[in-house]
Amino acid sequence: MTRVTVVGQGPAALFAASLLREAGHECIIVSESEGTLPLWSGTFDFHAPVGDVSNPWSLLDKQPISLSGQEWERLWESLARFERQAGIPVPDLLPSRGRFTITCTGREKPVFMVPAWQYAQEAAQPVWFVGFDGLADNMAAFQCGAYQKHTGVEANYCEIPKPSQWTPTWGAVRWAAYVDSDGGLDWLKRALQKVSPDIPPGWPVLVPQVIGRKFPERNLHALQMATGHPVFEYPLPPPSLGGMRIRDRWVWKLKQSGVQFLAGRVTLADPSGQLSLEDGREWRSDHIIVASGGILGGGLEISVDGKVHDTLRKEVLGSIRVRQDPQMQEWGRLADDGTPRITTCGAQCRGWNPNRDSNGGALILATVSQSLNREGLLAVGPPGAVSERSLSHVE
Amino acid sequence: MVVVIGAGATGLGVAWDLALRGVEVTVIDQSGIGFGTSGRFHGLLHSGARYAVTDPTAAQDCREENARLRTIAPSAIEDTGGIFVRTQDDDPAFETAWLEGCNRAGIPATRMDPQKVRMRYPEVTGRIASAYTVPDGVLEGFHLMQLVAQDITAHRGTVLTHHHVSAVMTVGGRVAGVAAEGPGGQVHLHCDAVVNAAGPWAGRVAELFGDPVPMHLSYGLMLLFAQRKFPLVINRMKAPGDGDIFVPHQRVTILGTTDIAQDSPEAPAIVQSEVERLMTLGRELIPSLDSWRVLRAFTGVRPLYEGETHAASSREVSRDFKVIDHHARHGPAGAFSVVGGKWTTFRLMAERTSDMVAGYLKVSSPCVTAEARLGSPPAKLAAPESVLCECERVSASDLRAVKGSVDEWRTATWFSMGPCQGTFCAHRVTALRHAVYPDEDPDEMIRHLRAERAKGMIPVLWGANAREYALQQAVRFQTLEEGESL
Repeated sequence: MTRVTVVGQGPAALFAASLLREAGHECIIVSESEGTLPLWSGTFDFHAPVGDVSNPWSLLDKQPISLSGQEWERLWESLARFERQAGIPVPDLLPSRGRFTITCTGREKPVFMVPAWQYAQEAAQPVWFVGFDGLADNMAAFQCGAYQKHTGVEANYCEIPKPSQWTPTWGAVRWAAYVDSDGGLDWLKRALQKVSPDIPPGWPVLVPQVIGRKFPERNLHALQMATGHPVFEYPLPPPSLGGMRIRDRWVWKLKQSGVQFLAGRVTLADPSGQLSLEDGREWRSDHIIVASGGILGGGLEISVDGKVHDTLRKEVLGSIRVRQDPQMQEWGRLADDGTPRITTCGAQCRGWNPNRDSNGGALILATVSQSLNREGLLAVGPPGAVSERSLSHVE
Repeated sequence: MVVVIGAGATGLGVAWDLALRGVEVTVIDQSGIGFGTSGRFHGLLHSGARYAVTDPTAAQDCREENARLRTIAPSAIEDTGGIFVRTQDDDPAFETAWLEGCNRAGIPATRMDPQKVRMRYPEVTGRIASAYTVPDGVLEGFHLMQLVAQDITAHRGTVLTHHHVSAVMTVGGRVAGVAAEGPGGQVHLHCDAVVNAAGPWAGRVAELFGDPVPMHLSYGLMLLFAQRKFPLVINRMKAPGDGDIFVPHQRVTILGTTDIAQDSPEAPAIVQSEVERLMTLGRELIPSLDSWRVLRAFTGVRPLYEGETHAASSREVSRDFKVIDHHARHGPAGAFSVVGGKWTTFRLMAERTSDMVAGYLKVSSPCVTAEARLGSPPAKLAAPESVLCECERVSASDLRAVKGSVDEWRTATWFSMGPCQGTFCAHRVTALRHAVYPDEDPDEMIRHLRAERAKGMIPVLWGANAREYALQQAVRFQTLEEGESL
């Protein structure tokens, strides 16, 4: 059996591990941090230059890595399959249309693959926002006003008073734990029941994404029953329960399937397949997949002189000081940098800018598939080699 | 009635002094309290030792005012003490001159064993030749300005912010009033005298008197690091130069400063090479500086008075101050300017200025600010509501209690100024702001808050700050969909 070590625990690492297990390889995940999934609501996005998002498939050639529609489709289906196997409710992707979720500030944000608990719509429609008094990101009045202003569509909101247990230390995770409890769910049901006569028929009810860490489906279903309206969550800034739930379930599923998780800082990964951790542990793998993240994830670091360092392989990849604007996304690695056995995927890859292009999901899928292909580790590789596009068009 | 132009330390000090003498005063500022130089300094309450050799008058003034401020406003002063370190690279002759200077100015400088310095502060360079303790302190500028402004109001004075003085009216060669543009249109204030305490803008204000004042403007760059790395001020013992002070300001450490001549009174954009130069100089004193968690960079403009001479560099222009009676030159009667000086000596500058103004107004009551006591503001009651800025523990009620612009909310509460630099609170505060001031444009507000933070973060993108900036960008553009990203 081929033994593969994946460095990192973010979405790219988990996706790589799932593909590796599916192809029958032995997989070890080693990471010094919990990964970046809890920083996001858990949507995977696919929209190159924002604009016409009604048909993401028409924008394929705008992605930094060129894949055919069929290849993209297969990758998205793999991700959806892995998430479903882990118990994450992902609706059918196809036929796929561009969709938006709504931020806590009332803005429409393009999304692609969205768990069923999170709100997403193809076109702006009337919605009822719910704010929780005592939640720092509660701004339902503002959210509602901004949504109406930006979309021109009718909307309304209400604010639910704090529960009696509340203290100023309550963050999103504490809120979610409360809603997971019987008392918490009951409190929320009653509060929403009280306002439900005011909600116009057919309007979806949007609640902040703190509706439980373990039982969001059960909780949302209970709220739906209580109000007679479809109830969805809107995403919040980190720590994000959406990403946390996906991480929790996906990691659990991988552990069940035999993936070994190690915590530690990798200090050496060399082309012989040798890996060493700071604490002295070491082992050999047939392949090393580096998914340790970009500057945010910690795979890249910037020194005082502006140089971009690969923290694992201790190499300088460039400098952010070559231009006035710090385009931090444009430094990083290519999957194939000529090093045998070691390949890079995820946010450490060069040429992607999900802040600008809303394509963080595509970044994960394309770079992981490219890395595993390069190592010949995919069960059924896409026909032909994946081409590395010229980066000039993303400037 | 006296109008004081400029609500920085000096202007507030003059208005406070006059108000305590029973004079009716209005302070006008084009922006908010302390939005010029007074809010953009390193926080050092000088013992005077820094100027012991180069500027004896400033040194002595600093020593006296340092002692006074500790009794006037104890809640705004932290008695940290300071240390002067001469490295093996610094001129030993300077040490002799410095000790003489301290002695002359009455500044107590006590020798400290270099070994002991190393043991207590292991991050300081091992190349210490000698070290002395001095009574430096830390001055919380915004806090002190708030206390002074409150006392002005308590003495029937007025602080009028966000008004730009556009004209000074005279009748028969005497000042009779000022015109100012504000958000509600033009206002006219009748007055008997005008005091120009506009700091870097003093040259422009003096033009309204028809009697220009030659200013020497230069800016200083400062770097802000998370955590209080030392319990006291660390100075390098050499002629005042660049990158030679580390000030523990509350929970952060500030590295100052540079000195670059400029024409505009506005704080300039930060030049990357200057940041690198400041880091290089800072490393000479603190070799491990690169490992410190940098938060941001900021600049402040020094409004030094050039007088009739032209100094080669602004380090040679005295940090002493000058009070000008424009009537004795080419201006109208009742027009005064106060220029130069130090934050530490603001009260003394105000006293001298007010003496002159009082003489003109034939007010006989003497200055009493030296004996005044500025209490601390009422303690914050922990309101049972959520915290909007988690780094600085600021809640909605803390913000609502401040009347003024969003920048005044910021300087009064310190929201968005901590390690996350507004990543998690800018949108929350924007929403609150919208509820309190519905006429303000929230899109513009959030852009302003983000730009204000990015301005200081981008020049110091390294280490944890680069990572924080990456997180901030991701939250803004991938979670909150704020619009155009880089």
